Amino acid sequence: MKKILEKAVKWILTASGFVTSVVILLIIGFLFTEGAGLFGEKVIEEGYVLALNRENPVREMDAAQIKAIFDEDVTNWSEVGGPDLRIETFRLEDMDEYFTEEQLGPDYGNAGPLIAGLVSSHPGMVAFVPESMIPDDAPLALIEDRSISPKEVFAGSEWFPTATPAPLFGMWPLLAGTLWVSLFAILFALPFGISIAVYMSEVASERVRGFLKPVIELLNGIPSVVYGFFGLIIIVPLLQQVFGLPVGESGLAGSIVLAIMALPTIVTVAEDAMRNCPRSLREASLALGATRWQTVAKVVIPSSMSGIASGVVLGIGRAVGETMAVLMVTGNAAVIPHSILEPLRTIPATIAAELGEAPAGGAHYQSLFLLGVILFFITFFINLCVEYISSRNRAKNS
Amino acid sequence: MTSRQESYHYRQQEQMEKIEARDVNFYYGDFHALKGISMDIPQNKVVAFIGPSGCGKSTFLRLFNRMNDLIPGARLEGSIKIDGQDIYAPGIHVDELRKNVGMVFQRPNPFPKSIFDNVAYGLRVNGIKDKKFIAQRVEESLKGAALWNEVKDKLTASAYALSGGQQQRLCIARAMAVAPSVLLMDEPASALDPISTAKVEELICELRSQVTIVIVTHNMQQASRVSDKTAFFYMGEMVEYDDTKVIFTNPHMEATQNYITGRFG
Amino acid sequence: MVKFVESELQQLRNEVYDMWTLVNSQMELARQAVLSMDRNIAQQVIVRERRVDAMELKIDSEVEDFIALYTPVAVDLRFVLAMFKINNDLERIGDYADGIARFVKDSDADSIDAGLVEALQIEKMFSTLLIMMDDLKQALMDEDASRATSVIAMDDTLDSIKAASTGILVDYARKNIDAMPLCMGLGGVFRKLERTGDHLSNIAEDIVFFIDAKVLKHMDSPSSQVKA
Repeated sequence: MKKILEKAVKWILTASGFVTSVVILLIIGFLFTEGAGLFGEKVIEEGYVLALNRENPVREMDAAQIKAIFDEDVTNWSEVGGPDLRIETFRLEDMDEYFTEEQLGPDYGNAGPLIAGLVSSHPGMVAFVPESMIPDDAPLALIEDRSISPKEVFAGSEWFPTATPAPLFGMWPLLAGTLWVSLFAILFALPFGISIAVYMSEVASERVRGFLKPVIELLNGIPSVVYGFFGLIIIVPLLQQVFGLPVGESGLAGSIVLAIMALPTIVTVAEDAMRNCPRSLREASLALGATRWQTVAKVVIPSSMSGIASGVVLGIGRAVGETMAVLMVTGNAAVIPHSILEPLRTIPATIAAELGEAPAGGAHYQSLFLLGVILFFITFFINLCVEYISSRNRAKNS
Repeated sequence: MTSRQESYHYRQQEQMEKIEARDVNFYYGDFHALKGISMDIPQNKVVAFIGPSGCGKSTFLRLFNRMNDLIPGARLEGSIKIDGQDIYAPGIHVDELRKNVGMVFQRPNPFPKSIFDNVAYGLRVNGIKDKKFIAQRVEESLKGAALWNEVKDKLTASAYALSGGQQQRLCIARAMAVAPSVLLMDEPASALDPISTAKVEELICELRSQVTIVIVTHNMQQASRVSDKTAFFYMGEMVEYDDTKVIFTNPHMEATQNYITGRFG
Repeated sequence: MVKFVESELQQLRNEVYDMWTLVNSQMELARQAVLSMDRNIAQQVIVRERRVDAMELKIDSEVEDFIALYTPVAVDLRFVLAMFKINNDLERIGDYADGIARFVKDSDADSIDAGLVEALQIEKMFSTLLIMMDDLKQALMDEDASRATSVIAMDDTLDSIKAASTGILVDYARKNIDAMPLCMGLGGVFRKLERTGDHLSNIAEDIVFFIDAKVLKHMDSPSSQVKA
């Protein structure tokens, strides 16, 4: 009977392990395939074309150029490799500037040929219209619609997924934002975290430690929204005052909030690791004439390095993946920040904020998945680094 | 004369006692761990403390380098002087004391560092920075511990790569590197195999001309082999303290005789 | 065993050698004393006997200390026990040399008749003993058990000479009634010399025991050996 029971337990465990692994792989696979799908999308919004006068030699433009033209930052065709001609933009909304209701006809039936005629008669015009409106025989040239290139995505410096005619998916602002905030969060959390851990394991009396430890572990459980709230109410105005900023929402606010959120994890794990340092090592160090602090710095911390490292990994992992709190205090500006005091936006915040608006299956949707993939790699890379450092430490010491 | 006889002869000429303990009473909180112990430990000799488990010999040993300070609720009455100076006087720097009074523990406890860094540790924490001097001291200490030939090619390897016996000899080298005048050994060979034990005992015999050694052991044969004087502890009291030869051929106290003949309990 | 113990063992061995040398010279002097009936030589032997006794006590104490402090086992234990017993045997031999010297000192005679000396084979008795002593010391130094065993056989010579001496002395005494005290004294000398031979046999057996852990004692012939 016992044998059957043991076998059953073994099968259940194996099955659940298997299922869990498969599910994880599927999730990752889904993430990747959706993200990669972005590169199959076209630059110009689905179903639309950019029509030019046939005389205009320009055939290719990238998304940034398109946006620049329609934002009227670029006003001459020569700036995009064409003839020296003023650019005139035309969107569907502009129709009633050129045509009357009667001309367009019921249900805008005549709109297509009318627009085609308009473009043919204006050499510098570029029209952003649905493909279906253009009659097949229209004497127009079309901008080649390529699929979105990785260069655009990874090296692009503007994130504007809702731009028309061509949404911009340059990830650099978000990447930069994430990296800035994470870096500064680590910069704040690490020294503080280790100091607190050292204090708790080496200096604090039993009573103080008995009080502090549950409090810190309590901090772990506070929902991130609450942190964000705290950040908004206290930290943002404080920064605004101290640094004289136009708005307090900035990368720095985000870093501070994230640091506070990562602290409990770092402290708890590091402190446990240090307390587990064998007493015999401390005694050996003291017996050689080292002071207490020399012992902590030269023996306790090095010997608990792998524990401290895992605490740091966990803390930072949490920091990098944080969404809500960061969203609330970093100012939501998807531009490349030039200092930590400027507003920015991180990847998780972006995904959270925009996933609701992106039409399912569309380019925007897929770009968000791609962002997820990038986030995955960032966290993965950080983990690798810490693993490498701590395994080198372990190899050196044992 | 045998080497033993030579050391007795020499002893008669020695005036100064290295360590003097007078009326030592020691408490862990309410527990009276050591009761009224007085003894003198002569310079450059080996003194062994023997006695059953829990009799206070390790506790007494740890008074000499103030390791018991680490224990909360520990209280000492009486005086302990090393080189004529009370080591519990206010104003004594404990780390200075511990530089002069080294300790080797029961289980080898090398640091998770390289062999070289282990031996150099004591020098470095005491502020010595001269690399050449440190390297020289490390080599001397490892040679003194009869370990140099075994490790000279792998000084940067981790100390944990060594066997138990080698690790313990490393710990002895580490303790000797700071040139203490007293070496306290708390059951240094109890975790080792017979061959390593023999090597450690040889080491003790060789070191005895340079340092005063106090060794706690529950292995009576070890005490009889290596020590010049032996003290028998029982239940926190020092029952008898005499030349090792006397203790093991004709002790004065019946309790001592019962213990060493194994007729205890 | 450990280095410092080795040196203690060697120290013990050297002291036993010293004792050996001393007792050997005692016996040699006793021989000279008897052959020439020289009282001065006899006096030397008697005075030195104190040294023999002191040395025996010293070695005894050292053996006790060694056992107490180093708890020897196996070959070291056998060695120490052998040294202990050899020490005792040597001291007895020293005693006998002293006894012989006292005979010479107390005797009125100035010399022994040459013919008697020859008949009794006094020279041979003494020389055999001295050879046995030397051989045994060498056997111990070389740790040569067979050499020690061969010495035991020489004891037979001593026994036979002593057995013959009784008759010769009785005859001589009958013919020279004045020499009765001398003859009785010489009888005593032979008894002592024969016992010396016995002690030397013991020493030989102790050496064999130490080296081979074989017990030869209380057997009729050394050829039938029992594993210890």
